[in-house]
Amino acid sequence: MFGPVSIPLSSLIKGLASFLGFSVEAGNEDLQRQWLIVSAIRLPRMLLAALVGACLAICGGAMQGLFRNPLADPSLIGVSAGASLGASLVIVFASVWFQNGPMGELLGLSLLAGGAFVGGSVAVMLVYRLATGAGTTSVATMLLAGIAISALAGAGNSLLSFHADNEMLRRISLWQMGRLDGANWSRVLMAVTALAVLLAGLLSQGRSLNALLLGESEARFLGIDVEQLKRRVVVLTALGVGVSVAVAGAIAFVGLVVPHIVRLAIGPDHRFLLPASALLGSSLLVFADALSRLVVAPAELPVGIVTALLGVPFFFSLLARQRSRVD
Amino acid sequence: MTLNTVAATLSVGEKTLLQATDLELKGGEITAICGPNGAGKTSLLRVLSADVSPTLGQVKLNGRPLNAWDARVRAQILAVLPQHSTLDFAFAVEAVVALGRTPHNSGDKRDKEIVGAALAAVDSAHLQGRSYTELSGGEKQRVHLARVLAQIWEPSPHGDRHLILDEPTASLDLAHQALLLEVVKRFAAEGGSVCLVVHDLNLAARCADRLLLMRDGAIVASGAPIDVLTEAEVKAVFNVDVQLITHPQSGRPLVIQC
Repeated sequence: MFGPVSIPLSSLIKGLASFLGFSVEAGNEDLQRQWLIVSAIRLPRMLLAALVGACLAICGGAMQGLFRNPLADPSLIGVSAGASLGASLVIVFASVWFQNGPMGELLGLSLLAGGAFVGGSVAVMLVYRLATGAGTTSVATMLLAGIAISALAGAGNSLLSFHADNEMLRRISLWQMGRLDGANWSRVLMAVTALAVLLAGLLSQGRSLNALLLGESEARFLGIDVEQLKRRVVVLTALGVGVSVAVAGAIAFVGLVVPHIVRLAIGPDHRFLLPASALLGSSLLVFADALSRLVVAPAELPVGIVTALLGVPFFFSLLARQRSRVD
Repeated sequence: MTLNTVAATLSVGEKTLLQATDLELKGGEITAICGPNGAGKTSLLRVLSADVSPTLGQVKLNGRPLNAWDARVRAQILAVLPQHSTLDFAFAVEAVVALGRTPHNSGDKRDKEIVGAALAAVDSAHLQGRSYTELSGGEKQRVHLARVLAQIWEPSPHGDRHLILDEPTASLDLAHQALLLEVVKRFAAEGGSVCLVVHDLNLAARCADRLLLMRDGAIVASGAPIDVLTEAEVKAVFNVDVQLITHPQSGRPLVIQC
């Protein structure tokens, strides 16, 4: 209901009714136009916001469990950076496919999604290979490797910016900010699939992730197959973040802040933390997206800027609180 | 049934941390391991607990090679309390103890009973509801002790239970050290085996059925405390001069530093 074009609730209900086959005010062109705005633009966009928010938040929660550090985030191990680099590569080197007609547009979008996913996966696999050896994974090495990957991806993005023309440059910078205005039903479908896989793969691991918080050896003493658990979390997080970046760009802070709020509210038990994070993450991103469309309407802000503006002060206050407790 | 090593050797690069060690932990018996820093005590515990595989030799749990066990089933009969536990998340105390029930499928109700009983056993029932991160070092230590006790609380169809403790008394006050010894003795009396590393020779002498002295990655003396703890042996292992007297009540040896 919120957006540059005001659509009253009554029109929404009438539109829905006629969509469902009831003949209400047939031939009303205004109504058809309004319904088109809702079904082709606003509804997929809202759904995409909810899905991406849930994906990012649940990935953040699982990552923080894996690293045993409440300040960890998927972007820390370089998944987001790798995914944006993949997307930028596609934008620059496959740009010819973006401009030619409607068919090319669709092909370009799929390519972009594939690029982001491949970039994210390559990043996480590289970090994982660097950080693992002799059957164990060093969390510290993994974090450091993530920083290195992020730096590499950042450098790659800057390099690509040199070679990009104005149109590409605009696309790349928009991509890196993260935004939801490209929402359509195929992106929604992609995000739904990713979220379903994440939920299926991670929700059952709550108890194991709890045990892992004690440390890798202790989790092993409790009968957890630690290596398998780590592999699972790494792969699923790569998938979740990769797809999120593919459909909406790099939206920061959702994966970091949401599990934090949930932990403060209901405690660190992953059996409840992960599903609650998914719910709160989707609410937060829907809210942030609504803000991004209203603040400077009829123009709009990329949602990544809104989440950063919401998230950063929150994150700093968390840091300060943690610090005062430690000292 | 036993937890035993057969000629277990652990090397990292050129350095041998543990030399062809034979050790047998029997149900009903308390074994204490003493030795100077870097003697290989923790390496021995790590080999015993499947944290690392020995470079050479074998470890067997109730007759089967340690790594042939299903990890979850193994965890139902073998619990390990490490020297330091890193837990930075604000779990409630009973949730930390409940982590010990991870390898079991005994249901929430039974788990809750066991968690309560395990906390009571280490004089920590009053800590229920508190946040783990706000506890003192000694309180945390007791909570983790309750956690490993909860892990192997009930007899298992898979054989004798084994409890491995690495310096469990390090941050405990005198009263709770005594309590720990009581808990450990009760566990052994129920048929479990206990293996603990302690620095305090007198504490070891007080509770152990068998005392091992380690130096340079090898067991250099093994037997009843009264036989192992001699002035010459302590001098040889720790390079300190001591006198030995007999405890007036327990009759166990008492080490006094000169």
